[in-house]
Amino acid sequence: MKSALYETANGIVGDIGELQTIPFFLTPNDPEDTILLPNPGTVRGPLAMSAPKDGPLLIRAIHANDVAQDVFAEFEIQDGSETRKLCNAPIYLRTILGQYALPYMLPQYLYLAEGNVIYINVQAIGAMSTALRLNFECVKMMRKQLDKTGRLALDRIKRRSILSMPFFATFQNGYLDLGALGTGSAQIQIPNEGSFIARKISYYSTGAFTLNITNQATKDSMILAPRETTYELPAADIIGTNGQPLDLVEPWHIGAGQKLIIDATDTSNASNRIYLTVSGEFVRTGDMR
Amino acid sequence: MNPNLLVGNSIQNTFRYTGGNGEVSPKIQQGLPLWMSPRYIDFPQPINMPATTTKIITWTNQSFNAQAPTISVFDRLVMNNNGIDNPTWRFFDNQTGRFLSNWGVPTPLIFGQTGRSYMMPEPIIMDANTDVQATLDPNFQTGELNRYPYFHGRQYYYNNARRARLLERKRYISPFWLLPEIDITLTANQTVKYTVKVAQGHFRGLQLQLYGGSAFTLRITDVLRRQEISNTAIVHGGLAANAETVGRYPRWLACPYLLPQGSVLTFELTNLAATENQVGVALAGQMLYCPLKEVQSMLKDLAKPFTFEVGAAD
Repeated sequence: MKSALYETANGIVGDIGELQTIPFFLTPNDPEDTILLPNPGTVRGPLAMSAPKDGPLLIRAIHANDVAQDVFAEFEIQDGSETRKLCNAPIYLRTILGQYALPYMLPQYLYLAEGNVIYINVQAIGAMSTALRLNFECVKMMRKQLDKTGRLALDRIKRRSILSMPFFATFQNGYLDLGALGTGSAQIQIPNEGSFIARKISYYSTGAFTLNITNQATKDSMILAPRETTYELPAADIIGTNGQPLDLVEPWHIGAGQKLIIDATDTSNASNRIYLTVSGEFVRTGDMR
Repeated sequence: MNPNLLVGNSIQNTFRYTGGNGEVSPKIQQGLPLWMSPRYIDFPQPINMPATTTKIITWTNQSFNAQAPTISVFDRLVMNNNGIDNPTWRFFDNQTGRFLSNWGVPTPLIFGQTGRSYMMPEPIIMDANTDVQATLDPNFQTGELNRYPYFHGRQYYYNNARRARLLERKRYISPFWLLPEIDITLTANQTVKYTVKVAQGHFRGLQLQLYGGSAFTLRITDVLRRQEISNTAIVHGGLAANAETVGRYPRWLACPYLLPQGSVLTFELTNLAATENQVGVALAGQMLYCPLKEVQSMLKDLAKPFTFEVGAAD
């Protein structure tokens, strides 16, 4: 089998590994590449971000010019005739947007085949004019120039993407409200169709708080403590925000249909709204066809 | 590809020093941190940068001991006052005879502060008693200035093996900034297109640097390969208050962008604001000086870490 060759105007020069890929920025198809959300409650979508037709994309990071987005968003990927959600519930974007030299690195590459589409549904929350300028940082594989190694790698990536993909998990109702010095609890429900391997945690809140995260089924907790005692640690000390989430040193496996329980206590002495996103890898099991 | 492999970090600099009585020390780092100032008469006063004329300043890696020549590796440029109200810089390496950019580079794209450095995609390597010059052009200055620009990196000595390895790297790779134009000021809602040819060698882009007072969009197209690097356009939000600070926090590209010599790029910029917008755009990376088919093996070879021992026999 002949491998892909690079041909200049002066003739063929042979395989050049790095010519098989180019950096690529996947942006919304919106005319000005900006999702306009002028009023609180504005809902837009589904907005499409279409992959080019001459090579698949490996999406590695999310970037926005303004990370102070008071917006919820849901992501779906259309893969042929199938649509797969990339989140269990609308994600508060402030928890997953990076900026400039610190984009939010996805926990694993998201494979987007030629011509496939990522759809975004967004809803503005805040009382401010919001223009969302979002893009994904990608590697575009030049299919016609892939050599044997590149084709094998792409094949492995594609097969893996059938079984697993990056996934964002958050509260079912979007946020957890705490009263001044109050306590509260919220759940993150993992879909029944597969397991979730958590790798990153990030949050946004209107005030300081402490928290603990526990797997309801196994009673495993983020914080090492005797199981009969509940401890909480300051969120600002143990998990990150925006493009600098906490990278778990060990992935945390959450089984299909299980729940993460987030127990939190406000320490700001004021009413406090907490958004939290756990990102990782969703491994399909239940819906294999 | 980990960009850090190509910013000098792959050059391990551990070796043993053999003392006068024969004992061998634990492996220690022989590089010394170094801030190198340009040579000029008024030192330690700041360098005067005129408002209306160009000026050439020179950095020299002086080495006073012919038996122990130094070699310096600079991966950061430092100037504490590094906003847009500064000259543009076009560096020229006298040893290799190469320019390090196709246009003068605006200060915010290459200068950081000591506590907030800009890491160049490829270090400037200076052999003993060689010069790097900069032509300062007052494109964005609003008046006469006085500044302290420095090269910041490390200096090595007493090791010919390291020196040879670094000079080999310098022979094949230079840092390079590829800019569409020296001074881009967009009028309200204006769209302009610039065409740039990669002529000096093969350009390997590693960073995309952008700044602007207001929002603008950018489309980069490789004309010969008919490839764009975005499906629509890349938007830069623009931060009026911090317009110059964001350029030195570049976006590392998801993979290196290799543009063989002769490639033609177009940069299409559209001002999204209804007011004038001063913007800066650069692809920062490496210029490779070798046949295209040897690029991969050359990069792989130069990225290999190496260690060596120094003693009386060196």
